[in-house]
Amino acid sequence: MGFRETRAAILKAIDEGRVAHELRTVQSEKNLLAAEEISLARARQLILRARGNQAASAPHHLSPAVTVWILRPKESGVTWYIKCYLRGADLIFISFHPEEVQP
Amino acid sequence: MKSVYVPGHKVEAPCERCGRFVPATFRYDSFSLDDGTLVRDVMLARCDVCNSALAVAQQSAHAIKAARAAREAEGKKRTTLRLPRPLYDFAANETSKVGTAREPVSLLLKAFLATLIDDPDRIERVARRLPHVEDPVLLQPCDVSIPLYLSEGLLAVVHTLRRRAKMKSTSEVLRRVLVLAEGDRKVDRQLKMLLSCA
Repeated sequence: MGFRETRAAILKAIDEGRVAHELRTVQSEKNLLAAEEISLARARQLILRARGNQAASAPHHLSPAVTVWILRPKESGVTWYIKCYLRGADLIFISFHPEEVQP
Repeated sequence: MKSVYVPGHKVEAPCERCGRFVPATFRYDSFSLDDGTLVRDVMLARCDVCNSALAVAQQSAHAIKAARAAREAEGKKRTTLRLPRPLYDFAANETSKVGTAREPVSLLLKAFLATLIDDPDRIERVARRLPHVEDPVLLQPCDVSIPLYLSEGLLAVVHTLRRRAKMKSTSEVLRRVLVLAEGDRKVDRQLKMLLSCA
């Protein structure tokens, strides 16, 4: 699945409320969405901003069959780091946070 | 309801203990954050093979937020800062540029102090400048009083600045920090980042 199809599937999962978070990253506080530091609506906006050249994919370390997507949309000078994958209709986030500010 | 997971919903999730993706089942359960804070009644998916907690549903984000807020409220110290009205207005102007009118002094101070965390060179530079900061606004009467909640980490930065600048008053350090925030691009970026998370 390419970026556009994946993004559409991600947005559909958000719209249907089929969203979960890997527990290990909830604990590491790298996932602002999991702790409601940002809302799901805001997360949707940010994902919608992502362009093809701001996206990359790689296999999940526990299963090469699972494609993990990394999106880096920019907004107001801030680049976001969004890492997630789809399992069927379910969307699972690994990370959702602004990237470190560079000097 | 389609917009929430209900107990019994199955997902496939990665289990580090099993070393693979496994079937997992959602149910209401508790788990601990890495600092030991217990989060109760969250929709949690556990591995069907080894029972490890694997994933938490977005619908339970409010419970994680509440648990973190309770933890932070315990860890934050309240202090009162008195400052001149023009300095308060400056902070309000700076924060309104990035789109918020809430707690401008607190926000600007946090943005400035956050740029110093893990940057000892910048702390040193700021500490050297602090005793020499001069601005007419600092000579005005301190007629505005605001409550300020800072985390242990940011308070430690303030104390380090005060010690290295050889200044006696924490409030004076904070007022001068606000003056130094003017035109500082790192602070602007940090402010935007803080607001992006809001």
